[in-house]
Amino acid sequence: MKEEVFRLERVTQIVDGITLLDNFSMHIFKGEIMGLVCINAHGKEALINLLCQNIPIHYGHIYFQEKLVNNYEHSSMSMNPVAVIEKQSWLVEDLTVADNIFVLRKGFKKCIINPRTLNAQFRRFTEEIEIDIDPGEPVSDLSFFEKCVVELLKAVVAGAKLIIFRDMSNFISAAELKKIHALMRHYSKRGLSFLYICNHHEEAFEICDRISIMENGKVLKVLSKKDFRCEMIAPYTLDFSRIESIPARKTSMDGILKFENVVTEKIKDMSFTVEKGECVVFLDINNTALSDMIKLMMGEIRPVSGNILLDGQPFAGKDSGLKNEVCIIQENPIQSMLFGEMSYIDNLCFLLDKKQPHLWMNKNVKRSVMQEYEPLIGEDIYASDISDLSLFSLYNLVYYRIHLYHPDAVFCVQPFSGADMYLRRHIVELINQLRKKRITVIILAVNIADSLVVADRLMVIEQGRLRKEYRSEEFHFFRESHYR
Amino acid sequence: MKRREKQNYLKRMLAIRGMGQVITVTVGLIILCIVFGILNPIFFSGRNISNLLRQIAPILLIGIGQSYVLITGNIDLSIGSVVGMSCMISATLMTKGVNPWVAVLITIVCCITVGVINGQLVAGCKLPAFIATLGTMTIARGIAQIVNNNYNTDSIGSAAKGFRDFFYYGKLLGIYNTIWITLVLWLIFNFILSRTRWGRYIYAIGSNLEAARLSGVNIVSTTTYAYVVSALCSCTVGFIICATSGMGTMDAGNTYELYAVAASVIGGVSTLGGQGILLGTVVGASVWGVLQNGLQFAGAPVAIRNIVIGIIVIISVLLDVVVRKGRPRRKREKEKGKPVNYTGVKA
Repeated sequence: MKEEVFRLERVTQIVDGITLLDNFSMHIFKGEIMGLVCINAHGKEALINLLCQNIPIHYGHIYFQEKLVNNYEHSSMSMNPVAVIEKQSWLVEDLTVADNIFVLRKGFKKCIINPRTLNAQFRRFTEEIEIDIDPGEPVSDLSFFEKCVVELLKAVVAGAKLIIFRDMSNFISAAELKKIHALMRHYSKRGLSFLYICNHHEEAFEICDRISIMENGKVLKVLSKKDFRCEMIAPYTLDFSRIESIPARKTSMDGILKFENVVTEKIKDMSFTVEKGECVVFLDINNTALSDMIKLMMGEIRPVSGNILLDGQPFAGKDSGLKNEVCIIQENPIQSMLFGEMSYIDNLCFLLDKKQPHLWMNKNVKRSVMQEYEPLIGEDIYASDISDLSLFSLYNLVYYRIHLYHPDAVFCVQPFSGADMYLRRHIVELINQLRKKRITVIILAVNIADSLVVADRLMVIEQGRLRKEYRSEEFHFFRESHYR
Repeated sequence: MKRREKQNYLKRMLAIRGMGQVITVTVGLIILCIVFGILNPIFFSGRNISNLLRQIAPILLIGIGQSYVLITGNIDLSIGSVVGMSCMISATLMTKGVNPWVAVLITIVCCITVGVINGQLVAGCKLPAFIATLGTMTIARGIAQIVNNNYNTDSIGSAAKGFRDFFYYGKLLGIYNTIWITLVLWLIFNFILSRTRWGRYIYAIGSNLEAARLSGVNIVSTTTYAYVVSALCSCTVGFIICATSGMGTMDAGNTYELYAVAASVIGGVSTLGGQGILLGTVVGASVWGVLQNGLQFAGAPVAIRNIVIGIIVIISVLLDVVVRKGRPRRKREKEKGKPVNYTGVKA
């Protein structure tokens, strides 16, 4: 009989009148990799919090290792031995790897620290999993992947019984994800349990033993390994079939954006041309080159050799008079691109003052923008405080700001990162709005997510080099090889 | 084999975070010494070196305290006032006939109380460190003034000769006690910071407060501990000043908090928290002392001295910001063997 680690029985949690978890049931067994595919983000955070700490619930029972630890009558607020590994690292950047794993943990009693002993202990773990990380290295010098490995080892050393991996594919590359999967299998064989939370069922199929599908804080279906087929999950997911868009128009020999043998620290001899109105996805398999591409387009660095042409003219980043013709939508744009103290319309017009110098003095311009965009955005355009608006409305604001500004090209960095299925579909629609205005959309991603739904072309970057190009009609070849 | 071990040791030394700036500043310090030595050969005389070390000692002590606090990501503006408070309380007690060592103990307790209050206000009540310690700075200065009814004290007298010898005039093995006291305190606090669990906790809360909290670090007690170290160092400097002048002066330690920040920052302690080593503070305090001493010998007026030191502090902070921003990411090729290939194209 399988040994049970966690059992949530018909758990309901209501916070501020909102039902976050609705009759939620889940079993996680020892050594099992349980998947959780979230159709929407509702209840995801609440579930993670509830697994970590025995906080009050309104109905149901929670058992940890077959002992009742939380129920609707009494919640002890005690912590469970659960670790969460997510994009937000919980490591101390300025301390070494060994310090983070061994010293910074509850129950560490030694007063005097001997780095040699810690390093020797650390090596025993890394030799076992065949990973090469220097225990004396500061965490700040590690890659995302290495940080994940260190967090995993920290959880193992701290005696965690359940490790939650949250949206891993959003921040580590496909190649690194395979390694993480291998580590999960290794530790699951040794009795550790995992909860693998992701937004894409294809990703969960690769690693999980069972999968729960959750929507609005409720489990819709639990799939066992034999049911891991797209048709089994199709009734619960949204339709992401390809959206046909206006074909790109060839403008000149050089297209709207051209890289000619561009070399930087991380980019190796990259050449490509993007046409006006085209949507191209750059998939960086090893997560090496994208940061340099963004820095190039923001003018933070210059190519060591090679040229970048924008609409046939040399693009010189910050110093270029053409800089306004390229916009960038950062990852998690709600946090990084909006001004919480400004009204919706001021946020919307923020870029426009580069084209309309007297915009802030001339109320007529703003009034006409309101009239033009109200049918697209709705009543929210009149909001004086954007903090109360829905996520959908805030995404509208980010993308319609670009729509209004109308640059030649927009770079979208990981546009689907952390977004649930409904939001991802909404982002797809917003990207299409940009394309309808013939704005070139360049998606930079480390995982493919739903990018191919809107893309005309896919460029695969591996080790900083452009390896392969797929046209839309060839995308199925890529999918076959990717989810093989 | 031995050579390789030596190389590894050197590598490890260089890998210590902040060591780069310490080496850079040390080179600068050596150049400064050479320049001042050329300008005036008396600079290298035994007597001047001895005086220079005694000048550096108090700056280094308050620098140690400030470094502890800066590494936690906070700041201690009360240092100068605690120096004044320590000087005045101990001197007043001694002039009233209290045994000097009892006076020292009472003063230490008072100063530690200020440290505890600072820690509780910053970590417990979550007040911004700048504001909290600005408040205690004013309070401590007020206490320094009120303790002898707004007057400097009289001479602490011959009964306190042992006290004066211990903190300033006495020598051991031909070296002034002030330097020995500083050296011993530096060794203790450096050991705690670099080799113990509490040291790691101090770095941890300065680097990532939330991560430290989740790792079981007691934020309030660790922050308080850093402020207590700072208060203790300031208290010792107060004793040194009292022993030097043989009386308590109300404005003792005025603007010392800024000297402490300067010594720490020049030595590579980051004002953003989480980084820095006490070896750097030694170099920072030495730069400060050498500049003061050397420029004095070179006949530079006080105004010029202040300008030069101000410029050096700004450059040091700029260096810290630039190093943090452009810290080169490690570029090691970890991909051993063939990379995983998803594209169907041979890599």
